[in-house]
Amino acid sequence: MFSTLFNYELKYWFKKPEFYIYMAIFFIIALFFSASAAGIFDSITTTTGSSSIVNSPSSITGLFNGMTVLIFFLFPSIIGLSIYRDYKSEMHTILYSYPFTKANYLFAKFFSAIVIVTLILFVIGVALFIGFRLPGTNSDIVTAFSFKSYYIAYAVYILPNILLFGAIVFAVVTFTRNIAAGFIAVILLLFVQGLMENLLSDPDNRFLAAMIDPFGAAASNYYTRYWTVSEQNELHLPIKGVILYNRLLWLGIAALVFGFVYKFFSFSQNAISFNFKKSKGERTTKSNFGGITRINLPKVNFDYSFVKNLKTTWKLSNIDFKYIVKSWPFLSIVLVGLIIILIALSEVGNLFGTKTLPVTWKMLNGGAAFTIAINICTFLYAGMLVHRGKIANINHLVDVTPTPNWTLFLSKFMALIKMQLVLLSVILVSGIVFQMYNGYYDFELGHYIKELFGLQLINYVIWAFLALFIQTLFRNPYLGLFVLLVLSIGIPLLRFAGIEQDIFKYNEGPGFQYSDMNAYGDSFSRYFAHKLYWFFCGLLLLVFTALFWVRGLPHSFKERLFIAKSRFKGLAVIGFAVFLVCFLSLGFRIYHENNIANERLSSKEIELQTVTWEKTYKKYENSPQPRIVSVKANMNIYPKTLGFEADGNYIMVNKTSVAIDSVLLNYNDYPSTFTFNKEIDLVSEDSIYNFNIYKLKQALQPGDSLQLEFTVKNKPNTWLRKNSPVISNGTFINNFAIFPSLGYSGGELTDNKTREKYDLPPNDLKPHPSDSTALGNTYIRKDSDWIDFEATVSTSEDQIAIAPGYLQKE
Amino acid sequence: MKLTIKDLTKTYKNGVKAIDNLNLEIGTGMFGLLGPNGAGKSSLMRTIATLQSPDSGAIQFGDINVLEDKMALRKILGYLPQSFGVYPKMSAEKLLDYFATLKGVSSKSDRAALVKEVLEITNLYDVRHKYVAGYSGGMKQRFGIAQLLLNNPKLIIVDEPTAGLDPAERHRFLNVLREVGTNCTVIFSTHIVEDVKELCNEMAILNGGRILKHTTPIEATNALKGQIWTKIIERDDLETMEATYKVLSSNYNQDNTLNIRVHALEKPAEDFQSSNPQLDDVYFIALKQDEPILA
Ligand SMILES: Nc1ncnc2c1ncn2[C@@H]1O[C@H](COP(=O)(O)OP(=O)(O)OP(=O)(O)O)[C@@H](O)[C@H]1O
Ligand SMILES: [Mg+2]
Repeated sequence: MFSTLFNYELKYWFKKPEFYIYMAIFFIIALFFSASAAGIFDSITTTTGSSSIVNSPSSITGLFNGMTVLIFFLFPSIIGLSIYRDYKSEMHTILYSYPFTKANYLFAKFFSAIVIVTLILFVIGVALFIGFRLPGTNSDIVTAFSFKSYYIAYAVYILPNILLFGAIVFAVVTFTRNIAAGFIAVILLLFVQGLMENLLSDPDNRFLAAMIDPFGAAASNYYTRYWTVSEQNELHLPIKGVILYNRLLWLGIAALVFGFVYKFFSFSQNAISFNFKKSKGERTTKSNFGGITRINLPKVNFDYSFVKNLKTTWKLSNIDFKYIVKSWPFLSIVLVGLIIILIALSEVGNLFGTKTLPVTWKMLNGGAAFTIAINICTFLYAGMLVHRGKIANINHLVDVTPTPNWTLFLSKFMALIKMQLVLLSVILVSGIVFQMYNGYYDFELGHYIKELFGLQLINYVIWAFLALFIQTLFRNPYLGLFVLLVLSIGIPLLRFAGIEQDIFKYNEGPGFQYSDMNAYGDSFSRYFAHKLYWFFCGLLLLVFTALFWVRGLPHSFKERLFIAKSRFKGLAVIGFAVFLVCFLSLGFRIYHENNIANERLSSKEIELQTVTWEKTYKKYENSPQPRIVSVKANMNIYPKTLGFEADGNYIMVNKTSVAIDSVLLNYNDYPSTFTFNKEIDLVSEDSIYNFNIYKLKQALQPGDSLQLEFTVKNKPNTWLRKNSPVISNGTFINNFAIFPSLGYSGGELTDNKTREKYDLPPNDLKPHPSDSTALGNTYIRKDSDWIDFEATVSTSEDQIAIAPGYLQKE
Repeated sequence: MKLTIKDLTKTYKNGVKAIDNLNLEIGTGMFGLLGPNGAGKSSLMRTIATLQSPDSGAIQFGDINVLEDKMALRKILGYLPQSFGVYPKMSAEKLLDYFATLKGVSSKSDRAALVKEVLEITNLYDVRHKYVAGYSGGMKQRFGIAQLLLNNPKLIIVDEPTAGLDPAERHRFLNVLREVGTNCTVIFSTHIVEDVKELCNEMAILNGGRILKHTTPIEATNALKGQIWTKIIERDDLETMEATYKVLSSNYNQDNTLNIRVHALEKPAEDFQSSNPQLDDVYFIALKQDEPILA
């Protein structure tokens, strides 16, 4: 009986398209990670140079294990589904009366699912193997294939992990009959794991931490912590001591969980429910007599107007919203989120052991721990709402009502936004609670509201657009959820594939920074420009949601395309056109600012420039240069326009014993002018590296001095780009940032493997302790020693100017 | 108002041609749709109810082109699918209010009055605060009927509504249907020939996606007057009987003999007795004629 059930389950999966979609997704992800680790994108982005081997036993275990964490999110829909399916199709009423034993049934269900997961893992292994060896990868950092590394990773780490998490998810879904519950269980487990890792990060607790890390990573770290690079590259992970105990412990727990399921599972037909108010049983009868002969439905007004539909949208969104907040997966996320935030907050108040005040912006920073929870809720409940009618099998009743599609999906979108508002309020409440607990009563409610319900909300709303669209497109909400998770994790990683500009990556953009002195400063406008840009993209997705919204029977994809095409008329076209124009023009504006009006260098170009810089100018590293002995500076800061204008005067003396005939001037990327007090020729001007070489008509003899007058100011700012370090309150400017310096300034590639690729000799970062040239310099700069310094600083009236030295006049 | 279906064809992804070039005209009143399992009744009804699009053909109701202007039809449509579920943890009253909103009743007091009335009509008023998900099969069916009435429909499509109703509720329901059906079009499918006889002024027999017969119950039975014959036979003789005559049905008697009904224009043999034609006979004759002829 076991094998019949087992085979039946496997066959079921082999016929499901989801199975192949999961495999394909993991294949691509694994390929992406392994190939990019092995440097396949080196030709378009920075070189992945390193002396560690990317497919060494420990890296493979790390990468493989990392992928497995992603698979945990599939468990509810693979392991959980295996048993849930029988409830859903109401097969259980029939199945449970068949003559197989509980053990047969449970083991078949569980192990068939584990086999399916293992198959996906196998695909990951293959993808890793291929990824490391794709043409274009750097063969220097890939070593020969070793089956043992994969095998140990699987047998010692991954298999026990999937058995453990599988058993837990299996238990949760079996007893709640709710896949979402299994999903929440995974998230909670990961949260708890992260929490324990944090709490036990103290070195004294290393053994304990190694024992109770359910992934086993802390256990292997217990031994490999002090491995040298070459040991990491070659040695297999040990299988001994605490690693063994850890694995056995968690396998034991997995067995216990499964045993628990076995003990309490019964072929009964109802889900376990907790009833707090036991209501008294009552005999019920109905009236069986007295028929109907006349029907007089009350005269009512039917209203199909736009305004009425808007009202309906609002009402429906309330119903859906209530459904979310009453569902216990949501409640448990909120509860755990609250705990996480409070823990995060208690860390925030601690700055390298110094207690700091729990000011509002710190509370908001601590609340960032909740970001993942909000995103996951958005992704999950977008699916639950879109498919809610279908799951309850009420969709045909709803679909034949004269309510337009837009009312239906907009109401779900609004319900999602309301849910996000609730979750953001959790951050607010926990922040204030924490402040009160610490006796800090300056709540800055306005700041909380502005940041949470303004700046942050728009970010989540943009995700909600995508979530609604993806969940409409996919018929299986858990597949949709998974795709959304992959997207949200993967989009920021696209930079490793050379896609570096924010405007090509959904919902990416510069962030915002808050400080108590400067508030959001100029980060605000750039943040909003990008969010607005993606908001228009979200609106476009909303139009697509409208086109692909399913009404009536499910259709084949071809049919859906056809329906979408037929719906693409009237308002849909206008909306699409308007949003597209807004999206593209804003996007082009940003693109123009970053690529055409200003030069943008990709990481690859920067790397190449660094190489050329070194190759061109390294030869001047040891050319003797005069040293600066006196600096006079006039610094005008304009906090209102965020600009500055400065001029200054250097007096330089030849402190060497040879005559110096050329001056190497290294300056910053600001409009500048330079004049020397001696006759001098500009022999080389380099506006890429901002490095000029001057030749004195008459060489500077030892002990002679030279003066340099310079001016420097910023290029004008635009709303998308700031070209100066000035902020409206609390500007801090370092002389390096705007004033010129003398000589070759270093800034070379550091990784030796990468240097080798560009034919550069290995770098010599640290000079020998007895190197006399090096000893002749301070740790700050190479072109001066103690100097005479005089500065005049001007700024707005409400600011206070500060410079080193003693105040002479104000 | 008249419902006209022209050259309707629907083939599913899996290759099943559920509706096969179907033409039908349905006037005001009760229209019964009879047909065996898999005949295409539900498919036809879903197509009319705008839940799926046909491959080809046209559907017109009054002056509404159903396939073009689905919204117009939905405003006056009452539809009860063969099986449906409800949102958990919502009472009948709440759910009906929800449906009333969806069907365009914007005023709160209007909705309340309407919901109260339909609850009374379907005899659910006493349990209006209970979760619908916890209703018995028949109660849920009645809930389905209640939601259907909410928009005062002109076209009512009900798919096997009497399945699962107890005799009292079945009567009650048929009465409700008859009452609302006096000045609108009601299409209802069933396997229970009895329902059609009691209720319908028109009927059609559907099989394999085609209309085999479109008549009225009375006409159909009248046409068979003098053509239905019965005989009591032993069990073992059934096969020979089926080979020789057009056997429509066979029922066991208490003593394990069989009572067979045969269709023939003339008395088939001496020991046959004439019998009054039933609607069942009409149904079986139609299906018999549709059976593929085995070579
Ligand atoms: N969604 C679907 N996808 C594929 N085939 C379908 C679908 N719905 C129905 N069919 C097929 O179309 C044919 C007609 O089905 P339909 O449900 O219309 O029959 P019915 O007359 O309502 O039967 P019953 O009396 O059992 O309800 C059947 O062969 C069925 O298998
Ligand atoms: Mg049917």
